[in-house]
Amino acid sequence: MTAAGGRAADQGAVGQGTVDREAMERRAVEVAYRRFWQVEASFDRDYPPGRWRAVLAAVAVDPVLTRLVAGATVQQRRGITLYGQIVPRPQVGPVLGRGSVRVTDCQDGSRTGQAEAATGRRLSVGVARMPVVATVVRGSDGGWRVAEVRYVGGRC
Amino acid sequence: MPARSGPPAAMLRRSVLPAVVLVAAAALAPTAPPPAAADAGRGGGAGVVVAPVDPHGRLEPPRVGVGVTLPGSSGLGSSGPGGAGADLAAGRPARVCVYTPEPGLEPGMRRVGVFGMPPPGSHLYSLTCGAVAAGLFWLAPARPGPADARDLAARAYRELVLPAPVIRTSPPVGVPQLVRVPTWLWIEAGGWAPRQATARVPGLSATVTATPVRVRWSLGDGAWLVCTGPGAAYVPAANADGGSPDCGHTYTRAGTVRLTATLTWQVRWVGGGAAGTLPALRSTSSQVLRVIEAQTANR
Repeated sequence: MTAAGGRAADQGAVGQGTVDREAMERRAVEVAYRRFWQVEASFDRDYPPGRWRAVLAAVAVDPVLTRLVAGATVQQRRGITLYGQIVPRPQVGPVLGRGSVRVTDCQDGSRTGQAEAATGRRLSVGVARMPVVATVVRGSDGGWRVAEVRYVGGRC
Repeated sequence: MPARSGPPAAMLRRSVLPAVVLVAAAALAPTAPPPAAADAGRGGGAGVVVAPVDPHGRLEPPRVGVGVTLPGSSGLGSSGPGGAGADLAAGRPARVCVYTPEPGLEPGMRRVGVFGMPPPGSHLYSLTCGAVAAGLFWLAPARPGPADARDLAARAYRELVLPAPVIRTSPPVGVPQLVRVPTWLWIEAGGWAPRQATARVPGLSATVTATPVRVRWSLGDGAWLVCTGPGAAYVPAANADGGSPDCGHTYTRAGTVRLTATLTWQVRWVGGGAAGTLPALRSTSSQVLRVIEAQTANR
């Protein structure tokens, strides 16, 4: 009886611990995801091109990492920069076996876009609700980083 | 009687969408809904392109807000794929989208396989539409031919910037129309002129030309009228009290009516030694008119 009760109590504790760990992981994913969008908006203004990859590597991995560096390289050559910032509204999915999480997002891009670097003149602007699906992966250091971002279109 | 000014010419912009030849097209999202008008307004004023996806132009090619109706659809704001209303200054030249080879970036992009794995013979290009960076693409422009020119024409078609018709009436909008007195209808002459857009890849370009061919007037009282030109503008000294020679209507009942002008554009393309036609486009605008009995006006 005692043993049985003990097992029951242990099982309950294990279950609660799993839930807590899962919640903590998902919270960590959300923090990493939000951080990604902060860095994405300003890395080309805050750092010289030679440091872009290293700066982004703290929040992103390939293929998004290379894509961002390439895109910013082209834009810098054309005299284009960004203004404002994407405002994410992420919903973090369950953590999958290999340390991968799918994040669905309904972003507010209505106050951000491309601008002329020389004058600040705004060239483009996003919309208030942009559906996005992202993949966030856990690295060997335990940190979460964005690996893929897809603008899927439609409504959110 | 001078005509009162109508609304500012609302310019309509079709979407930036990757050309058919692009590998990226397969990975692109389905059509984004038209953003609310408020979305267009927050961007900082006229000329700002509304990007329903990826306004930063680094993660996905943006498909830019439009407002031009596709064949079969109707009305301002019920735009086609990627559609969104965006006010631009009248007479603004059509944007040109240009692909630029990116040999320096290609090895890295090939290594990580972004935007799908590149097909054999393709190379990395960046795309700029007007001043806006529209992303990176795998493109295989190897031997341009008529088929490639058609693809480019399809792309240029999506880049057309067409003006909404600016409605003019006599008596002018804002002044009551009179029952049983002819109302003149015309659209501002600047809105009745061909518009062009060009798309290019190295060694090949295609230009589409949209030409206005007719205006369908929905008169708001159940009647409608098709005019094959912009309509004759009312000139007080010359026209006196007669009706319009080519585009007018006489209301027979008092009330408030919504007058809608839908301008149809015939679209042709040329490029790579080939030519053809593309589906007609339409641009639309409306005005509210008040119609009163003459006796009411005389009181």
